[in-house]
Amino acid sequence: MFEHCLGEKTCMNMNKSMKQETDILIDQLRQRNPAACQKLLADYGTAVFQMVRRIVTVQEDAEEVYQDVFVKALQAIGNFDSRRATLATWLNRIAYHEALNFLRSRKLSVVYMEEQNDDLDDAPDDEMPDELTIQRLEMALTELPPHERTIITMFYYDNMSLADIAYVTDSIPSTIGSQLCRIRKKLYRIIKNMKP
Amino acid sequence: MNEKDIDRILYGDTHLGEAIRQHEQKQPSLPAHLNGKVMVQLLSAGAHRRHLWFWVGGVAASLLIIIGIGMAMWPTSKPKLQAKITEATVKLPSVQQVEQPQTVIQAEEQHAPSLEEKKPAPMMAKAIPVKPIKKTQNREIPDTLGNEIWQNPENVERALRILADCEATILHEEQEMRNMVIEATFHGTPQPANAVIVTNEMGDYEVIETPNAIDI
Repeated sequence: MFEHCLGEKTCMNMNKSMKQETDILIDQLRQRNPAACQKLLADYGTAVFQMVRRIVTVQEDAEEVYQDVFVKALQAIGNFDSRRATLATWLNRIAYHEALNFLRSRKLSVVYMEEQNDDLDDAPDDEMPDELTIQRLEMALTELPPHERTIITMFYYDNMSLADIAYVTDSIPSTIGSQLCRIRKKLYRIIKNMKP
Repeated sequence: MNEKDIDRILYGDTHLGEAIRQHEQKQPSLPAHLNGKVMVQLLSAGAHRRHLWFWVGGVAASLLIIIGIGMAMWPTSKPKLQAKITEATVKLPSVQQVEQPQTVIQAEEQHAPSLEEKKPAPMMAKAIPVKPIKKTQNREIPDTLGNEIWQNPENVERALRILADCEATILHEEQEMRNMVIEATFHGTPQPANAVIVTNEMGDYEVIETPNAIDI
């Protein structure tokens, strides 16, 4: 819709200028420019914190991981390759792995076995009102393991592509597609088993 | 199941999308103070990296210096020496009668020029008595051995050669005899001021000159 309003050429110019700004920011970050660090936090901090919070649910721990993410990002900024992913996706990748590593270090994570159910097209219960379905799905989200909840949130809330999600989680797009279907099916199975 | 089916299933599920959206909106937002804390950490991390390199460089330089000093001070293969500080006029006990004459030294004595004509070295102010020697088997000690023989440089040279073979002529355990011979040799040759004999348990010795008395 944005493209239709402004025209394709304008959108291309805007994307180009945004990319140039990002490249300048990255160059300044490599030189440890304090103003660049502040801009990085201002532009990407919210998204990074959301990513961390999906996995690390305790507020104090999430803040600690958030700090570690940016320290690590600044240390690794020299290795950032803009051809592989955008800066936002790259930061999300660091945040995702730092958060999972935090859980592992605290021995808080649990290994979840992937369910071997072939029927991926498990349709929701049409008899349930929409509002109730939404409410129950929201409750069912809290029962998902952190990494599954993060993957499905990246798809539906962050509108990330399968390729970007695969980059963040160190996977491949086809696997992410299958995982998303399985997670969705699991959620509907959870809400079906919920007491009315 | 192909990608189109996956897209249809996933993108078509508006309930799930809405549920996730509502769930995310209920999550706490980024605390206002947090970015300030992160900035402090980022700036100190950069300084820390610079200081870290200084530390690494300093440690590396120190290691190189220590290795260089260690190599310069690397000891020789000589065994550990024990210094024995001697004075120029040490008095030794008088020699006693011995049974087995030493033929080599006797021969030297016979052919040696008149010892009385030879004047002792400036350091040699007094005659040095020789310590009594215990009777053992295979001992090559002349019965006519006297202090005068050390005034003859040839005798001294001979004694030095004998001393070098002290494993054969003087038993290793008889440290007392060995030291006596060393001292006699020492006093038989002109010595520099503040001379120190350094010996080892094998009987090897050398005379070194030191400005002060030292313990090695």
